[in-house]
Amino acid sequence: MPSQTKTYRAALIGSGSRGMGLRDEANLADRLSVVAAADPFETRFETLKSEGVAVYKNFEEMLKVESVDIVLIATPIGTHYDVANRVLDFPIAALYLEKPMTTRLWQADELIQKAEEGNVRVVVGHQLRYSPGWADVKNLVTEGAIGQIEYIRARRGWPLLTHHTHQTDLMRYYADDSPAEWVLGQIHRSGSFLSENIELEMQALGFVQFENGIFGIIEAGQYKPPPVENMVMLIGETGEIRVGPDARYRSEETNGRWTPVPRYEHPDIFEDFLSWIEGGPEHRSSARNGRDTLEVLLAIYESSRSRSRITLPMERRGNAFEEMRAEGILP
Amino acid sequence: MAMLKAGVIGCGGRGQSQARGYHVSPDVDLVACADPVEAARTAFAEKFGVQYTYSDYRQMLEKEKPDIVSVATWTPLHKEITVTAAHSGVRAIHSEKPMAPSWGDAKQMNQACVDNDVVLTFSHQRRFSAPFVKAKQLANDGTIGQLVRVEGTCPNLFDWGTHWFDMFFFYNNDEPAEWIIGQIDASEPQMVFGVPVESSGLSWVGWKNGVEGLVATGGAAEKDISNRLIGTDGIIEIGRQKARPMRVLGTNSQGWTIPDLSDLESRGNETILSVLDLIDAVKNDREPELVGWKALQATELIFATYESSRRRARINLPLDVDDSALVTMLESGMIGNTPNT
Repeated sequence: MPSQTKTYRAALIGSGSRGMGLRDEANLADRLSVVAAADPFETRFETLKSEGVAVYKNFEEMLKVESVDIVLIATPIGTHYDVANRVLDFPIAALYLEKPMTTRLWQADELIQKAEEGNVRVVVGHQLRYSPGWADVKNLVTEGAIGQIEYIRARRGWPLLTHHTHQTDLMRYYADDSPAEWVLGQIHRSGSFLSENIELEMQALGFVQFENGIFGIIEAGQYKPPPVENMVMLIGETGEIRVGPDARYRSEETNGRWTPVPRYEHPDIFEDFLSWIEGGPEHRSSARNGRDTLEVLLAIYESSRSRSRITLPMERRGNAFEEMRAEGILP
Repeated sequence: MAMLKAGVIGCGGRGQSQARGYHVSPDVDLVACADPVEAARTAFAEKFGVQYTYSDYRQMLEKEKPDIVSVATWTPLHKEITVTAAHSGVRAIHSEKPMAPSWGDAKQMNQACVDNDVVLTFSHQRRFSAPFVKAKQLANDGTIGQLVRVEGTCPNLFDWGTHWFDMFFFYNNDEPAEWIIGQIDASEPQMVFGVPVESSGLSWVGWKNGVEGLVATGGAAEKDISNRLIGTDGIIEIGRQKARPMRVLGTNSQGWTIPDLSDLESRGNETILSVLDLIDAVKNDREPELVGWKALQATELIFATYESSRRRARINLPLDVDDSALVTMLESGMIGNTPNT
């Protein structure tokens, strides 16, 4: 029987701004405390030490010394696979890996398999599934406020892997995480474009057909002067929902008038994580979902490379964007 | 004013649809038709009381010297016939859509008409069709706030998508487009009136005034929707024929409402209205609604989408290649049933 009084010790890898934010969120959970941190550049070590957090330059050293249950990884995107893979060699109960899970699909699959073998619960940092506004939309949809969803359009003024991964993940969440059947897409890149230290596209477009009949449109990039709106639009049989800076909907039920999306109770993202570790339902942002979101994004790259629609699950499990750059197809 | 003489080239279904326009006009004598298929031209002549029939359209142009000709042949013949007619002394040409199998051909047929002072129009007749005209009115009168986005779904970008691209310009008051990014899947290409088309397509367009558009085709097409116009404050949907009626979710509407189209519908058939508009334009020396430069705008977006697939990039307009990237890639095996990647 799960012990509701058990406390958990967590270690953070990568104490940059995202890492510190993650630590603060984790510490909000009553039974969880971040006791150690590792960062090769000793970022914010003075602050951490003053708060009683043990600090290490080397994360493997940290995990040998500190006995922790949960590891939080907030390192640069390009290092996610390598760091997570090495962390999974240690006897931990759970891993929180920042988004995107990895940059290649085979890496995500390998981490999932390794975690399953070690009985490690893995969450990928698509935290909007728990954020007010974004998460409330899911409840509203489930209540049938706009009837059967026909179409979801997700838009973000930044690249697919670094930012739109949130909006694509929400699209999948609103579509009940129905498996994507196929994807058609295109990207644009006219030179170097660095986002979070990885080279990416400047614009991207994708069509996603989900198995349950819903389809999605993905629009990403800095193709016009910022800010490009950050929004998801859902069109249902009887109305529409628009969520971005605010969340509102209108339907036959509201007599066509814009109405704020009501606020619903949501579990805390880390409390829900502990619940999953203790045998509760799967976390909304489980690695399985993180992986499936990544596959949709990578399928857009693959569609650009092969000039065709891509059937999922994908046969080629690398990263076609990286491949096209390596081959000189993309600048 | 003397009666205008009209001749129709291509006596199939679309030629007959256009002929109805000449037939009902008090200003036009439909004097001749041309079609290499004897049965087709004979039936056509009988139906419309046409006196002279020709197997060769060149003879018709030479002997009848029509003022207006309709070109209602398969697409690959449009350019040759239009250019020949433009040099023969006609005053106006009404051609079927899509314009031509390549962007270069489309530009050449338009230029031949400009150079010879011939009025050229294309059958983007939805500019006269009730739901589309109503949608434009509603998109521009504040019913859905400010128009920010237009969407269309159909079987393919070329034969049907040309209408939706044209409608996008129509809704957006023929403002110039700025860029386009898209993809086509031609793993199972189909032939439509002699030209290959994709099996699924996607095309995202940006206009200089900030409006954006999306066309999704084939496998990516929505089942019951033709066009969707999205405003800051509402939505207009035009359904597929009878499957779903036109409906509006507007600033002041009580849920979805079905607009009244009776006034517009009573004006008559859209193809007839297109032909009558051309006749009126010729008579009054004004620009017709379906004028060539408008058709070129829509056509450019088709070929620019193909080019986006070929270059794996966004295409900033104007499009700077003259071929059809879809045709070239199919012929070279870059795409198709067995693509060489």
